[in-house]
Amino acid sequence: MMQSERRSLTDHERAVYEWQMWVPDFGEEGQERLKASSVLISRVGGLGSVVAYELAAAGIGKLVLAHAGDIKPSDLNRQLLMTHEGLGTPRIESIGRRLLELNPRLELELIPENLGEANARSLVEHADLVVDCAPLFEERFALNHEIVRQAKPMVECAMYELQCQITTILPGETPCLACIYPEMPAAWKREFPVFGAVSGSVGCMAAMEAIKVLSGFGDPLAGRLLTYDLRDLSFRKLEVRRREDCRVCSQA
Amino acid sequence: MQVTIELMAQLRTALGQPARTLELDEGATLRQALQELIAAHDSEEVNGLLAADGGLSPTIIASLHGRILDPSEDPVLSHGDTLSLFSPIAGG
Ligand SMILES: [Zn+2]
Repeated sequence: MMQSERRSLTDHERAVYEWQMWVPDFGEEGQERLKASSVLISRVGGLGSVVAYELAAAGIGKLVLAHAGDIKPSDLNRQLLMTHEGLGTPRIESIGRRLLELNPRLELELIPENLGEANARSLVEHADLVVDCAPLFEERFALNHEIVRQAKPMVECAMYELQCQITTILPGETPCLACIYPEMPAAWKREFPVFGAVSGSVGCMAAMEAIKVLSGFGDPLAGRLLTYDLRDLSFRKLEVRRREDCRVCSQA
Repeated sequence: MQVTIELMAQLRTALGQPARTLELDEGATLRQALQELIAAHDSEEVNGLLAADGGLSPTIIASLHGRILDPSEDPVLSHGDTLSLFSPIAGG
């Protein structure tokens, strides 16, 4: 399993992270690895807001965040880094302000654009791990292509209505997104039914997957897709196989 | 024999029900089950389950016995099987 570099903690950081450093197998060493780590989150909406907030709370060293546009009323049921006061102002400003209120030690790289073919390469280069929270398959496939090329882990998560899916892609070891979807789905609609508690649930899981992979403990969802439905609280883990002829990861 | 088709995401919304039980001939395969489903529900989402070559659409996740199937597979189903079909989701 990959492990990040370590950066020693200050006394103040030891005080802030004391309770999570009590977690067996994590400890101060795990905290030092998180401090030395950077995570790219694309985008920072219903799902990505919660991923970013949990990683900021946990003491990640740096977040690279890509999200375009201004705050709209319909963001506010789930995009928890946006505020009512910020309606009509750039989302990325609200995101940065809220994260620094929680963790002023956090290093932030705020990009007021969405990720696409043009900037995927450089954004992925700026991070040790990626969390894919994009609402469009075009963005998800652009990220998948880059993380396979740069051999960086990616937590892949998505939701619809009360249903969620999450898996962790470790290039070279596990299937990639194109192994799951050999062709880009065409039918997905940009607007979809969603409660904030649903996107938040899978956002918390994605943050925990990132923490586990970066600090090198626990058992991430490698080669397994967790699917669950909060309507009846049914959870299942499905085995995903790597495609021999995958157009992305078989040539990497 | 009876086989249950479990529907997820937009497929569930399109059919308006979380699952449907099909009565199939002994030895029926995945593709035959999907053809039955398409015959019973004429909608864009359901018709899209099968690709032009007659196989499972490569943009649908189908799982049987805890494993995601490759679109090239056409397993024989057994009485009591549950086949789960997930239409693609990318909600962020
Ligand atoms: Zn692949």
